[in-house]
Amino acid sequence: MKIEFCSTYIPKNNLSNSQRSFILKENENLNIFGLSGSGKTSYVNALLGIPSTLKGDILFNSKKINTFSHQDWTDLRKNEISFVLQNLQIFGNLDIDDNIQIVANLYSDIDYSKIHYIKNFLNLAPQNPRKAKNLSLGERQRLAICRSLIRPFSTLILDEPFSHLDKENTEKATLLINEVLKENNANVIFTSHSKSNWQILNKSLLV
Amino acid sequence: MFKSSKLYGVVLSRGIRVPIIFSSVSLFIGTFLSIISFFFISFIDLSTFFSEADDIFYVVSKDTKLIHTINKEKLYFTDEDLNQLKNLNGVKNVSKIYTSKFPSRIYISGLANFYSEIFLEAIDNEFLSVDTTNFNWNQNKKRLPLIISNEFLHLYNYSFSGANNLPVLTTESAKFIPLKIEIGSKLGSLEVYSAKVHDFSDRYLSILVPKNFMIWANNIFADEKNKNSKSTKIIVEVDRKEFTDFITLIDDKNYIVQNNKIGISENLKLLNYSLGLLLLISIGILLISFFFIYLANMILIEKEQKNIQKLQLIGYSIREIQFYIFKQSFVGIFIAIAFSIIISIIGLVQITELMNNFIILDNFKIRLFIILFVILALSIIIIYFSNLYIIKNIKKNHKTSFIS
Repeated sequence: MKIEFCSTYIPKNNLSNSQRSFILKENENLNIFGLSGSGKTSYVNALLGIPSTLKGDILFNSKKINTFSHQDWTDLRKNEISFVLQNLQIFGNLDIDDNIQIVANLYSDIDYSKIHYIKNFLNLAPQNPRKAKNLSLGERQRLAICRSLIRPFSTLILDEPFSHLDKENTEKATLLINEVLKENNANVIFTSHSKSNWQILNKSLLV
Repeated sequence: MFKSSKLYGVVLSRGIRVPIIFSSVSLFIGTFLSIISFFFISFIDLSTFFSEADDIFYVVSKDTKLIHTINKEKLYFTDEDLNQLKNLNGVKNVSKIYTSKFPSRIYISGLANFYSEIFLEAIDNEFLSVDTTNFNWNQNKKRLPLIISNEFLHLYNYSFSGANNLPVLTTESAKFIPLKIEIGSKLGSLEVYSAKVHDFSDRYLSILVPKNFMIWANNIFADEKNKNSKSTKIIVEVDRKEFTDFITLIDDKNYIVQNNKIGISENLKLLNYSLGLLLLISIGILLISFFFIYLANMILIEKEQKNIQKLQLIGYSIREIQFYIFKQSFVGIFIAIAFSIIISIIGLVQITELMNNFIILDNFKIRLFIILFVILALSIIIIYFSNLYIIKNIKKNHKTSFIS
């Protein structure tokens, strides 16, 4: 999906509005990086329609989001955008399977074999009865990644998705995400503290 | 294969189920009572509650003592008695009640064996509480109009009809029955007049005929010694706000006021007031139940703000979320209303079968259908607007628009 962000925020640091803005084409993948508190998550929130400190115009495929109705947002989140947020947004009272199922329930033609594959790839223990709130941070993060990949999307937004993963799991997750992005012909927006060396990222924005 | 359990039940807490259950029970009670009281009230003639006359009419007679069996003159009201009453503060009008001085009987045309001995009375039309446009008579008229007390109709319906396997009558159906009044003349012969019920009255416990008929008939049919214009009963019109002097005179003279006795009509009026009160209370219960269900939903939305936001972020629409929230209470509402309708229908059918010998419950099915339709429509309207408000509340609490 083509995403344009034109900032009108009065910058605190020395960055101008144009330096905070970006245009992301369908075949481009963006790395937003910066120090802690620089506003990376604000970009993510703004793109997902969560109240954000950023001010500006956002266009999805040339349509301004301030013209979006509630239904437009619902359609966008259901079919176009998938995400992994820093606070993970998983349901603590549900176990791994139910957390995945609650996403799968949105789609009548979900491919359960794909779900099994992704789950196994991320090493999410089969039939783990533990509720999500009792899982480790790493397990919860892998669960969030799994949920983001099982659904259809044209843009994947990842807000420091590997912050609680070890090197091995990070590499596995990266491989998997590459595969799914290719399959969906989607682009990605990835936030990190420092500029990422993830090869698919061909555009960057320092905030 | 993943289990597709009712995930909403865990995501959106079940904490409101207990208040929903209790609210549904009270909704059942409120709906049931509303249907029952509404049903019976639909048979009431409401005009009886809205008359705002300032005057009261009293039928007055003298107290009957043993001496009167020998000397009946003491029972009659003299002109002096009438003038004394007319001159009282608050008394607007006084008139005699004319009584028939001849034997008479009444029966249904074609059923002469089914008769009743009666006496007839008459008063000036201005004292009547019904439309008197056609309540008159002349010798050319073929039919004699009658005004009958409601008490007689109730007695017929409550007691006589059941015992004699006769149909019950309403005030309207009774007007269609062809009657015959048979008058015994002084010569020993019988004169028969066709008659028809003109209307029913709560004011007088007798059968009234037009005054001109009574005067004429007394002149023709009464014995010479009975042909006097004296009366043992009078009718007095009293101003409701100024009846003290009248009451004092009644006590002093030891008169008897007929309206002091509460008849069946008055009891029915009390019953109707009670039903009206019951209806108000039951509608109140019904509305409060709906309100508590709505309140439980609002508490749930407040309690589950984070989960509702998570669901929206995943891609669930507000309508889907609202549908689930309301589904929890809708089950309770549906069961409560459905059960109340079923039980009230069963109850009403049983009651009407029992009461059929006493009261005409005409158009039973139509009335019940209308009442149920009104209750269901009211419920649907309340549910619809509650849903709209729930959606508005979800949107307000979970603002998702980008600030630009």
